[in-house]
Amino acid sequence: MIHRLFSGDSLSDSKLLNGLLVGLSMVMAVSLSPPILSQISGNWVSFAYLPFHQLCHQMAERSFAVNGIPLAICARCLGIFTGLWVALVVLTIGLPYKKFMLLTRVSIYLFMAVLSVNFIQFFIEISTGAVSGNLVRYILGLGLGVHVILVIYSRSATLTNSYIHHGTASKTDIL
Amino acid sequence: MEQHQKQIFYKSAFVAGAAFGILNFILNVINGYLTLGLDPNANPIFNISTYGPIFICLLSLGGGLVGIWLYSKNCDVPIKVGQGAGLGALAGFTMVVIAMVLELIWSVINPEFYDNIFQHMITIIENSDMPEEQQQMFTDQLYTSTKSKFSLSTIFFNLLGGSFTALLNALTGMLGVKLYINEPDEF
Repeated sequence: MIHRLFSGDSLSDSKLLNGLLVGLSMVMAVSLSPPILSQISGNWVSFAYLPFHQLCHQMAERSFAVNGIPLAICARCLGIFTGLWVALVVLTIGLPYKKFMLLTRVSIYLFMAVLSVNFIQFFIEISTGAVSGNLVRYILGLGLGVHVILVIYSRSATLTNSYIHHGTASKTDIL
Repeated sequence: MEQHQKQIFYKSAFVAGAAFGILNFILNVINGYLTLGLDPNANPIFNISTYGPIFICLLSLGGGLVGIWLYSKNCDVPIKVGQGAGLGALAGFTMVVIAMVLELIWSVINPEFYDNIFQHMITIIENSDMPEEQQQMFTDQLYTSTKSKFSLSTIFFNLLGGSFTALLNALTGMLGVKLYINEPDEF
């Protein structure tokens, strides 16, 4: 199934989506690199943090750490990128379509719900001083990333046509 | 794409990118002054200036969404999701370049600003319970982001960050097409 990622005959049928997947893979690789780079050179570690300073607050206490070296992005951002990446991979290689596609019908509501939970958790933290673990933030970010892709794919004409073309579902199943 | 549509397309991307880049820079400066007012011995978790960067990073994702919104307000011709991604990516990259240029100009106009932030953050790091090796690592990171702004390597990695921001704004651009453009989409 992996060969379908760049074959052009996968569900996405779009070089854009393959490009997004490659780009996200690079983002994930650079964000996970500081603990590895710290073994090579301290200077390279500081450069690994630079690309993300506009995107993420990079607070060490809110980031996962390996051998005491925090990753380049916080736990929530890592969850968002992971969710985006996993959702794109699932859609590109065509794993359980039917169940996944059922979710897209209510995707915008799910997206708003997950976004609200993220904001509520954040405001509870800053107003009460209660600190959630990095795992909680990672999971909330994961949900957000997955649902962004679900909304983007929701009600897509190309998606519907690809379903029919690949024979994975009948037209009545989708519409 | 027609000429008129193209003009609105690029204008929306550049206006959204410029607006968010300027806003990003202003918020970074404000957050910097708030940080300078922070007691070095206080726990940063409970200080409002700690959360400034969180809002700034949320802003970094808004360029694509706002660019698509601007396009939808000024042009009736719907665009495809792929084109929305292009608009978002352009807005994201513009945002980063403008914020970077403004930071470079600010570091010339007010060179003490980043020096003071550097010294202040070093004091906070030294007062913390971090192991010495980690303190050194954060010191190097701070030096790279505050004092060596004009070095080629810093500019290169900032531009690399621009491509990451462009990628994420491409996604928010695609999201914007789903939210603001009222036609069945194709890629």
